[in-house]
Amino acid sequence: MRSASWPRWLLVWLAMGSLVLAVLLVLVRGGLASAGQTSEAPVSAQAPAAMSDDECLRCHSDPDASLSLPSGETISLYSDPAVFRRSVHGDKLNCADCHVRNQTVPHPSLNVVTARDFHRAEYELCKRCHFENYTRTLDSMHFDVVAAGNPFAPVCTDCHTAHSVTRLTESRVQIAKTCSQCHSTIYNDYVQSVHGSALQSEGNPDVPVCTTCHGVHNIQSATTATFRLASVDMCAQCHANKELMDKYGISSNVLKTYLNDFHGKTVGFYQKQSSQVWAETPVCFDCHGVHNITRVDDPNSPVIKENLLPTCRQCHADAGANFPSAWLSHYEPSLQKAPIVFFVKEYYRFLIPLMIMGLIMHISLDLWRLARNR
Amino acid sequence: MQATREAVSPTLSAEAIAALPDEALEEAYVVRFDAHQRIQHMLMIGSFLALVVTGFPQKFPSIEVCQWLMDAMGGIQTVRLVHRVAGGILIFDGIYHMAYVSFTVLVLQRTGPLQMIPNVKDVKDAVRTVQYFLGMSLQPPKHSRFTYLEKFDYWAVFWGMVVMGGSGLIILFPVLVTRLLPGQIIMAAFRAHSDEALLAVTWISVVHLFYVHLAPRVFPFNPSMFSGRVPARRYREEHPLEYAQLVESGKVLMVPADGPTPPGPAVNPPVVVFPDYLQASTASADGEEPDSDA
Repeated sequence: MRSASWPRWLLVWLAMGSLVLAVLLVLVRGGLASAGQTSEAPVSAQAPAAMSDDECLRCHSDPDASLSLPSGETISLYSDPAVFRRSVHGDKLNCADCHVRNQTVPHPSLNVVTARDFHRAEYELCKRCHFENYTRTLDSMHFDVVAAGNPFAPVCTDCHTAHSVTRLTESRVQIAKTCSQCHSTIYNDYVQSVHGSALQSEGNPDVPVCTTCHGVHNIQSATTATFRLASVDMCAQCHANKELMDKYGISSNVLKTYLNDFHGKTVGFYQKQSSQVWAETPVCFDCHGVHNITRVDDPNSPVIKENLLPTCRQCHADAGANFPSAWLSHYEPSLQKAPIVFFVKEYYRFLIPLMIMGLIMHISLDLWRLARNR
Repeated sequence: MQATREAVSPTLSAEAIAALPDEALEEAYVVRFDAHQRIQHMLMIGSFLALVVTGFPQKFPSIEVCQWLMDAMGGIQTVRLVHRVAGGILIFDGIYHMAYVSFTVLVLQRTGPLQMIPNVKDVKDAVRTVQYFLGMSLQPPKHSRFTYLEKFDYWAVFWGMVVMGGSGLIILFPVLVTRLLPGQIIMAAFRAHSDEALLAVTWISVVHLFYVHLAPRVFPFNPSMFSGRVPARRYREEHPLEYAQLVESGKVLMVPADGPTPPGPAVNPPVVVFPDYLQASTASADGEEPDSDA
């Protein structure tokens, strides 16, 4: 109500003024942003008093530089500048860009007891730039392990290293090796598997590595009902891809035939329903193996005909010799592969339309006669 | 006190019944189904509907309504449990029916159920009916207790029960079955169970929709399968041979208004019942209209 008594010209000027101000602001911000593209290190720009690398290296180029921790452990304080310069950050960052808290000499004292404490405190530096991937790791099962009290679950630097960071996507072999630092038993299975051996021997670009199935930063537990149900589609990403499978002479029909069969049907229902249930029904890896998966014609394959019965008996303990042939081995029923099933299928393809059309014709004729008789 | 078979007496000759006035026939009915047959049918309705509701979401998992139903019914595990229990009830119903038929034929020495066996007349009847529909003949064939279509429907369902029950048990007990039979049987049964179900549901829906609901002679609903009774006038049209036989052999029951309860299916069918007729002049139509199932 008060503003109504203001002179009208003042309001007009105020409105026009704020409009001009807004336009100017937009222009200036746009200019700043385009200027920012030329320099990829805005972090260093914000820290005018940054120490130069030379100053850091005055101490940290000494290979014997170390620090004793209250736990009795010593950690090396040496950093090879050549290694760092070769890393993915080498042409972008300087020491002080990451180690912001250590810009004064002497450095502020550390409040850590063990070496692991130190590493777990330092890895937090990564999130200043890599915030998205950092938050993803907070959803990972590795973080759950930390939350459960195990400090040794990996943080950024455990997989990526602190200073010699390379792009892991450049080397699929390196990805598997990275995981093997902790998961060595699984890695040993994997390198002998049809997937892992192809990766090792020929650097095959199509076979899955750890992260293909398990994800990267938000790695989920592989022992949940959700993972189990999703695993079918995980395998299908490649194995239902005709182009990819043709390359290796493998059927791309495996998902379809699985979902049409008794096990796959059930898993299909579990996938669709809202409540998550642990599916006792077998998924791909229950029969084919997980990390140690082999070619289906390998004599050691759990699904080769000679080995199939023991595989069935993992669930169907009393299964007899005929039992495995109940499973059509990912084949569509045909005259050659499953003649009885094929005949049943053809019988109904013929019978259903015949019966229903016959009945409807009978009714139609009946009605027609009734209408004519009226 | 209830009218029993002993009460059936040839009080009227066939000629006398034929000479009865039209209103006598209006009130009369034929007891066609006994309590066992009606219970068998009701058990079938209940279990069949449960089987369809729990079976179709399993057959068509990609249809959204089916997914919703599946979820609403508590997921696949609950749905399968209900499906198996309902299947058990339907199998029991089939065994009950077989026992009932065997007992009727072998112990009671009654030949009624044997009339369901198809014969040459059925083929002729079918041909003549189609000729009649097409206008090639002026009169439809005269039917006995079961028309060719009723027989076909009965045996279609009979065969369907064997296939569904059999294949259902095979896929429920694959380990046991493959002890004796080749493994392929499991997938064949799986396939047959699914396809036969589709056939059964479509067949049963269409048959009932027309012959029980929409057909002008019974519209909107033919309750005979529940009451056990069919109006005598319609019976005389639909099953003239049997009707004449009943009348001639004296399977006619005259029920006075103050006499025993008009018989429901407790009387061994078939029998023609003329309720109230003898006292038609004294008892008004409202009094003894048979509505209880005895």
